[in-house]
Amino acid sequence: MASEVEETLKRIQTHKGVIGIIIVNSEGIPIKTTLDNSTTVQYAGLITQLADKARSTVRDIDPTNDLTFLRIRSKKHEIMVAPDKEYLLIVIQNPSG
Amino acid sequence: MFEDHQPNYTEFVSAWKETRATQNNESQTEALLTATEETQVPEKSEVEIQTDENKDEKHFNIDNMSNPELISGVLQFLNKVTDVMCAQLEKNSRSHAFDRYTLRSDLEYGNTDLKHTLVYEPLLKDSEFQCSDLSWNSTGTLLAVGYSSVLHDDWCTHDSAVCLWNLHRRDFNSRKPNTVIETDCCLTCLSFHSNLAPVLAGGKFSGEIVLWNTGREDDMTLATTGAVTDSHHEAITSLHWIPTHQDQFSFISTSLDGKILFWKINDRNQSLEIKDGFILLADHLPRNLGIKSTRPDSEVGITSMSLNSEDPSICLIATEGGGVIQGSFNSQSVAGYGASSFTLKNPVVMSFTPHRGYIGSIQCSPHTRNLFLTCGSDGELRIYSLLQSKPVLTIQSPVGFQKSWWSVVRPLVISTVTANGELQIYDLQASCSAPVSSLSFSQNSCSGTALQFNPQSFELLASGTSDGKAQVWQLGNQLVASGVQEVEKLNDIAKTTND
Repeated sequence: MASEVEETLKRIQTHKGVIGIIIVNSEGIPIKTTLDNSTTVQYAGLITQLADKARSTVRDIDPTNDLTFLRIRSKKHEIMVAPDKEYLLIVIQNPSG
Repeated sequence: MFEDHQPNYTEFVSAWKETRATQNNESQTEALLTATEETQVPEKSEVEIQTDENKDEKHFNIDNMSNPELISGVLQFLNKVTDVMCAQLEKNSRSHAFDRYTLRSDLEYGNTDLKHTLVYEPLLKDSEFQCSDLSWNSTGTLLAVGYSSVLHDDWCTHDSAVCLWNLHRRDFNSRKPNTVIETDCCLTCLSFHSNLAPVLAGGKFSGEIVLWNTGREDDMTLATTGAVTDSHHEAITSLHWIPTHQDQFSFISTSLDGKILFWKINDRNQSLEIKDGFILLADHLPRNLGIKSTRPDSEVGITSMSLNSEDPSICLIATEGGGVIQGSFNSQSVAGYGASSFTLKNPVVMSFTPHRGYIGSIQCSPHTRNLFLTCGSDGELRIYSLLQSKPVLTIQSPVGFQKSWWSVVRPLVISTVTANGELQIYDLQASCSAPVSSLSFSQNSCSGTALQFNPQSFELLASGTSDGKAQVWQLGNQLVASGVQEVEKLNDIAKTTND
């Protein structure tokens, strides 16, 4: 089953411009990563907080609604976050690269 | 008359000896107690190992993946989100939504303003003193300004000083430095330690190097090279800290005497020692530089040096006479220089198209491995690539450049100070020929002499001038906000001018 996880990560990695993939649990602890140590820890901690905030914002506006996807466009990258109850998938892409 | 005669025996009892009387007797000692006991000496063997801290540790996996429950959970989650994510990635790489999108703040340059003019009056009275070098400490709070005289006919006997201004102190006064370190000789070069904030190295006109701990109240001197025999004997032109795990106090110095020396501090007697040394000799330089000499051991003075940002064994050297040379500290070839008791090596690897004048500064790009920047009194600002001898970009100006520096945050921004007293800032994204902003230091004609970016507060830039003043500038927004894909654009500029 572990190989299936690797397989899936590889599938995401093949897309154009993908710089890194991180899977984080609900506490913000990275579980699987393709990036180096310090970058992973930084992304995991900060993006988890941001995704939590985004989710609570969406829910506060309409309690029947929920966050499904989060895209952050920066000058250098696009950070994409797929949230779920227990885990968070973070993919960093250089869209023009 | 004679006959055999057998005398009779006579016996008598010995008077002095008596028959010894003996008597049997017994005695018994206690039985000896014996016990067997075992001892064992443990055999010890000691092995020491030392690993260097691996800075670029790749692919560390927080592998909790051995737990099957977790794996199935992650897998379930992945199955759910992968399709969405892949669709987004696909869409994103084809999208042109942001192609012409620029932030409004990026279009406005904002003003670059003069924030402070720092003056040390006791030295300013003699108009001969100029600001020779500047250095920000690693936390970006303290600015050190060194002064030197413009007139040197022979020995330097000037009483000069290093002034330290702390920009964050409440009692900050631009006309009164927080600390003044007096020196017996003009200062030509200053460099704060790259991570120990109070440690400052200063190079003097005489070739002596001094380390100060500016945090101390009383005697600030940590060590000097005054007593070292094979030290520099001409003005120091650059100092580069290269702290290692073993030795925090290790640095490289260059001088007009052509030597590049590696120094370390001896902990026992707090003196500086030479660890390694290189020398530039005219005989080793490629002929196209046009530097010739008939004397066998003729050194070529180094006016500036820079270490490559990615590979610290690569150095770029600017020599007197405008030569631009790539050197390597891995070189083992002995220079064969007679006037030193220490074996000096020859660092020369290759040379680039020389400047037609004095080179004020040379600096490797902090953002990309192959590019470096030089500027000269011939009025040319050049960007070279390590891969070709001709410059990839040349910016010409009617006046000579004194110093030029890459921006810390924006790979395409270059700041320079000119001989007619202007701070010019080039943004290669906007123009490869004209500066985006050009600011004058003062009314009277003076030339810029030094330039340093603040390593922490990127919007602050310090400059020094030949009339003994130092300025702190606040840069405009556009010059400190990082742009889109700048390193790629910089590399593109290098490529297109190639063809």
